[in-house]
Amino acid sequence: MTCSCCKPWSTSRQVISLAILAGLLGGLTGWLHPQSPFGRQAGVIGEQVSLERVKQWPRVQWVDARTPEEYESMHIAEADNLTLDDWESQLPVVLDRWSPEVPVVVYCGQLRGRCGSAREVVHRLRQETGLTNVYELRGGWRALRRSPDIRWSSGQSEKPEGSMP
Amino acid sequence: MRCSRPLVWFTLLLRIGISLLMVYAGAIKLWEVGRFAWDIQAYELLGPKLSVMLAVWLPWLEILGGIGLWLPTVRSGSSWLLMGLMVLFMGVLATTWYRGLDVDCGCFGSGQSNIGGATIWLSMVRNTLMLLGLFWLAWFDANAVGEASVRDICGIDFANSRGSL
Repeated sequence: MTCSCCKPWSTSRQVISLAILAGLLGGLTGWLHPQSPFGRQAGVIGEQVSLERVKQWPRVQWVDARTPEEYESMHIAEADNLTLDDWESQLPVVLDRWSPEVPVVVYCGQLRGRCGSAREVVHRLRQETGLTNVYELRGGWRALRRSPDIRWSSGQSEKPEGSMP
Repeated sequence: MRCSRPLVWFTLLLRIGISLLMVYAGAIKLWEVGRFAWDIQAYELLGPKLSVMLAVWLPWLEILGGIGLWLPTVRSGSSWLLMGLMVLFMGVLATTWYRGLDVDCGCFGSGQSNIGGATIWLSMVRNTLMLLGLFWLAWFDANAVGEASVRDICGIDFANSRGSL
């Protein structure tokens, strides 16, 4: 004789139970995880910020995490170059321009989703300088190139297609 | 159910492989849950709030599903849950390819691979193989569960390795 509580659960009941348990653990994750996307302002998740959100900020300090060669060929107007290789020499320039109320946004040459330099620069800036309003631009260079209202600067005064003066 | 020793070992290795892969995929998404939320949002299928909720829920589904493949109480449900996820992932990949979006896959963490080119086909092949593997596990368990163990069914004594078929 077997009681009903000893019968194996039906498959659908197992799936529902797993889904509910995952939901509970997900809620805890959203509550406790340091990178939790819960309760963030729109356009900002973790250390990443969307270009749409950046455009709503009155002032932004741009940091270009690409190589010096790429930076020289073209960059956002008033962006400072900061790479891990030349960190010691470039960091003072960034800090000179830094202002507490102005968020710092770091971008890199992300073309196919494999840009890690901006993320590393953001982490190091946060760790070494204690700044908290430092963000990585979601989409990096690719997102910037698609935006028509970015002011550009380059040695040859070239501007990408669609850019505004 | 008739068993053979290679069949049992194949099923065992398949279970180990799939469960490890699912737990790894879920854990790496949880590690950078903020970025995963962005990845989901980039598919342009869900709004920001639903993307965030899915970002904390989906990794736990994968982890619990991977662990559940070893627990007799929820083994069948785990197989079907993971099969559902595979079908869902393949559907999302297909629509993304159809819409021509170039986004981070997000399959095994952020910035690993993009949809487009050959990557989508590799992801589809991987998910199809996983789906077939999970279907095999579900079928095997459906025939094996109810008996005491694989040893009882197949007459294989793993400890002494003297099983008869």
